[in-house]
Amino acid sequence: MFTLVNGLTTGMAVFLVAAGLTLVFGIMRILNFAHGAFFMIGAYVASSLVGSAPRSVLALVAAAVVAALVVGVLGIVVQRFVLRRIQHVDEHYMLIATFAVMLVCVGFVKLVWGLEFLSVDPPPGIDTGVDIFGLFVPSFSLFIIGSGIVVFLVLDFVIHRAWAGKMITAIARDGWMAELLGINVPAGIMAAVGGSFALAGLAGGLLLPNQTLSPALGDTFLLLAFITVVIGGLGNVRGAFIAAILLGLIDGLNTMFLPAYPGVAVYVGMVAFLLMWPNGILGESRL
Amino acid sequence: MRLNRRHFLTTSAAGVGALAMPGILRAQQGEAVRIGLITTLSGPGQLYGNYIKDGCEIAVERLNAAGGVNGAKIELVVRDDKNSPEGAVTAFRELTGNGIKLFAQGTFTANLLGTLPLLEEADVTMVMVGASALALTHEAFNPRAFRLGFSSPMCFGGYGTLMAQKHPEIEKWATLRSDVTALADITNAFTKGLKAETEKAGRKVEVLDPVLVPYGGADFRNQISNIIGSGAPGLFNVLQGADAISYYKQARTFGLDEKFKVLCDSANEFAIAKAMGANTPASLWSWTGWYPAANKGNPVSDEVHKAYIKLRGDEYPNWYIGVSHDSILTIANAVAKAGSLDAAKLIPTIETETPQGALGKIQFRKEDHGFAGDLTYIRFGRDDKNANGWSVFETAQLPGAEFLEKATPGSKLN
Repeated sequence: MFTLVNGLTTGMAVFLVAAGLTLVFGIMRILNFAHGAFFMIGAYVASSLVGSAPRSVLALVAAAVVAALVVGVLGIVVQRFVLRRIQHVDEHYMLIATFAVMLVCVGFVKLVWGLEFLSVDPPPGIDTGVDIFGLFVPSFSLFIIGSGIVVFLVLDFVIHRAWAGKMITAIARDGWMAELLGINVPAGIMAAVGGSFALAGLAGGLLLPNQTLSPALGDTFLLLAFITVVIGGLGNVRGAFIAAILLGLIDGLNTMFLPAYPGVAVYVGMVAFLLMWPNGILGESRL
Repeated sequence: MRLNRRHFLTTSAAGVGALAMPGILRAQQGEAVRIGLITTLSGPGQLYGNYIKDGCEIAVERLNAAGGVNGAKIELVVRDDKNSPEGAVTAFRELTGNGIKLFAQGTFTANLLGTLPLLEEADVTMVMVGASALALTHEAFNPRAFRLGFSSPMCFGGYGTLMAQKHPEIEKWATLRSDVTALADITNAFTKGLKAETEKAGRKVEVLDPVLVPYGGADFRNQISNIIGSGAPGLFNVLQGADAISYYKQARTFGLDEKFKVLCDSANEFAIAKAMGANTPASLWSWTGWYPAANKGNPVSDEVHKAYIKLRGDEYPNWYIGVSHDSILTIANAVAKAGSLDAAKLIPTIETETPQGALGKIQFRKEDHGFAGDLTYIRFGRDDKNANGWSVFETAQLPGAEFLEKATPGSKLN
């Protein structure tokens, strides 16, 4: 049972990172290699705000929101100067360009925050464990699970129910027609991309007490986030949510049944999913 | 005679000129003795490369302040290996092309394995800084290279021995590591030392199969649950860097301090305490290559420590500082004694000389050029009374030569 709860925790942590990644793909058809680096910047920004010991859960969440805003602004800059220019070129150029952005981000972090490891503790209230029907569950795990669900519900509502989401969906599906109908397409794309990057910053802030900060932090979740996005269906937020949960559970079961081969089941699972659903569980989407 | 700083510096650096052959010395005078330093200054590993650079620069500054080598200043020429064997080879070729004959290189074994085959052709002498892989002094042994680092059987065999001596009451140990070969070697060396010492005392100890985690993993809670459920009162954690700190953070919620009577970390030493501050585990052992407080009374160690505090404002330097300092010291001392940059003269000099370094007497085993210095272990942990939130409680030292693996230069250790 603990394995399942922990699998869900891992899944929601991965979803928090993957949400922005899949959104950028949905809007601009760009697989953003630098996404992990922006997650890392979000974590560092939040750590600068709360220090090594956040006073409360609210302080941690507030720092994560500020980190989201900062990274969102950075995302708009990157969109303006990099992503927009490579949107219609071959995928190889996209990968190289976003990889270069990642290197710049890592260099920036080294310059500003240095190379030493930093650690932020969970704030009071989520720094212990709770007993749920005899099962010990770390309260920070519940915080991650709750955060993942809230972020998914908000995103899903915005994309499928709110006017802004419908406008962005229209731009993503047919920008030319959206422009004919009077929608400010460049502004819409900029806002949506800024929002996608902001999600990376938010994830960095919310997961702060879970990880150790170092300039390699971006790599920690990036691969799992990519796998999630591919399995869920590129650009599909609902797909990413389901895929993240499945990956988390597979990883948990891996620990239980194949402890000598940690992490292997995730890759086997990815192959199996792609053989069954080559376009992802819910298919590729333009949001 | 009591060794003091002035005495050391005058005998091992500038003053040694009086002992060397005057004819050869004349060729050195007025010219800088150039030492090439190849280390990792970008990408993963940069943190350690920076420590190595700092330690080497401190050595050069100290030695030059004392008159240099035979009246000649030491010049350190630093190059980035870009954390790859190709980068190391490129840097090596550039430096040898510029006439450099003396090298210090570290830390990653893979990068050293790239340059080792080139030493003969370039006719150079090298000190390998901090590298621990067995291959360097066994199957890839090169007589022109000296390893100023600690092999796994040496420092972790010693670690297991120390724990068996300190904690005879622990009859069951759990181990935790990433699925990486080098970490498996560390775990095996610790287990071997622990079992050997326990059996010598007529007792038995059980070491459980290691709990494995993916390298660079994000979540260790499943493994934490498994390892706590094992019921072992002793834990040897071989996770490295950020993985280790994330592990301690996540394990704290599970009552890590209460579940284990003895917690051993392989080699992360103060990186854990510096990152975790007041949330550092209550008591944690770690191996370290150099801890100034354990070497109090060694004037070189004291001076290097002082110089590092001046340079970085950090009272707890990483062990690479001391090791890299001593690498340059080893080369400078050999040049001073041999009065030459010629490898044919430097190699026997390094083999026989035992200069006083920050780590103590710098001594290499003649057969395979493995370092045979003392081993240092520290116990530190949470301390509310200290402004840092943590303190060092205890240190222990063992003679490293007793734990050196069998010398098999040119062939793999079985």
